[in-house]
Amino acid sequence: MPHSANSRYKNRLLGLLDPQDMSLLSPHLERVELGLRDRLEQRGMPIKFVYFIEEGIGSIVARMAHGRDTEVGLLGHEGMTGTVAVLGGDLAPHECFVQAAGAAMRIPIAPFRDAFEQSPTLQRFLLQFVQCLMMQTSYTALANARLRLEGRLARWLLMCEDRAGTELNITHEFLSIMLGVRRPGVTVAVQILEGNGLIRAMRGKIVIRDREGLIALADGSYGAPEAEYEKLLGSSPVRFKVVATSTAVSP
Amino acid sequence: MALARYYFDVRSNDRLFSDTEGTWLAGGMDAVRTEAFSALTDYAREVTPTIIRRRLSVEVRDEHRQPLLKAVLVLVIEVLASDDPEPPNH
Repeated sequence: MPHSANSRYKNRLLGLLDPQDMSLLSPHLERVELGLRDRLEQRGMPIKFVYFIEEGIGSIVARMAHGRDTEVGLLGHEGMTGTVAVLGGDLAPHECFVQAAGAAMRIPIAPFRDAFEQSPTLQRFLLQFVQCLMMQTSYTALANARLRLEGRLARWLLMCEDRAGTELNITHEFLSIMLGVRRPGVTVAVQILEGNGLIRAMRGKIVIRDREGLIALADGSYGAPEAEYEKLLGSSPVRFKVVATSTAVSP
Repeated sequence: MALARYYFDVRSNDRLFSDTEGTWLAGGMDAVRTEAFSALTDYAREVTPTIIRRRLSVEVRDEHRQPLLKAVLVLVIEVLASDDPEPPNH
């Protein structure tokens, strides 16, 4: 249940903190703009800030030589960057950059660590988010191993919609990097989804039309991490709740 | 080598998936060949084997939409033993 004192924070984790833990963080929190492609973490370098995202999307990107970067995690208003700090490390394992512009409440790493060390309840709470992020990553691995590109694209679009809404500003070029596939594959996958009425694709933009259809195409790879978040943290990470429609069948 | 824009269309039997946004590549025709060939093999992994003959092609055009090259893969299933008790006449 979100604490009313924290309701001014659009980030869900901050909104769920108990007042005591919030008082440890709030003197050091600062609202910042997140510009498109801003780098929040650099692989192998010390983390400088922890960002509690309010609007927009952060991508965690794993690097491989010869331009084979692939997105391995998505963060939005439901999450935070810097989870390695929660686990006791100080160097970022991957790149993290802003995929959709927005804003965040950020805290420098030193006061974050102090607050974390002082409070067992804050530790337990943030570790639950780390569990949610691990679950997201494991379902990404499953989807990448087993689904055709259309299914992976469907899942990715659902996760973006949860964080940034129904209209997404993305190019096919960008999609090929995020999904770790050759550019022509993206052409095919987008047109298959569009042909099935699931999305509308315009230059540089994708609009989601049929969320239930996308969930079906994702074939079980979407939903479990989101349900785990709701179970552990008591709040749904989905920004746009799907309203179940019942279809009346005439006798 | 400088970045240049190309259009990679994918054709699967009768169905054409047209590259509406274009693709930027550095490395000239070598890069184009690699991208076209890799796209073919990626796509071949994803097709369902319900059709007996599938012709996949990646057709590349330059920034003026003039054809540059075509990479083709044909997947065929030849049925060698029939479930039919009567063998077919040839």
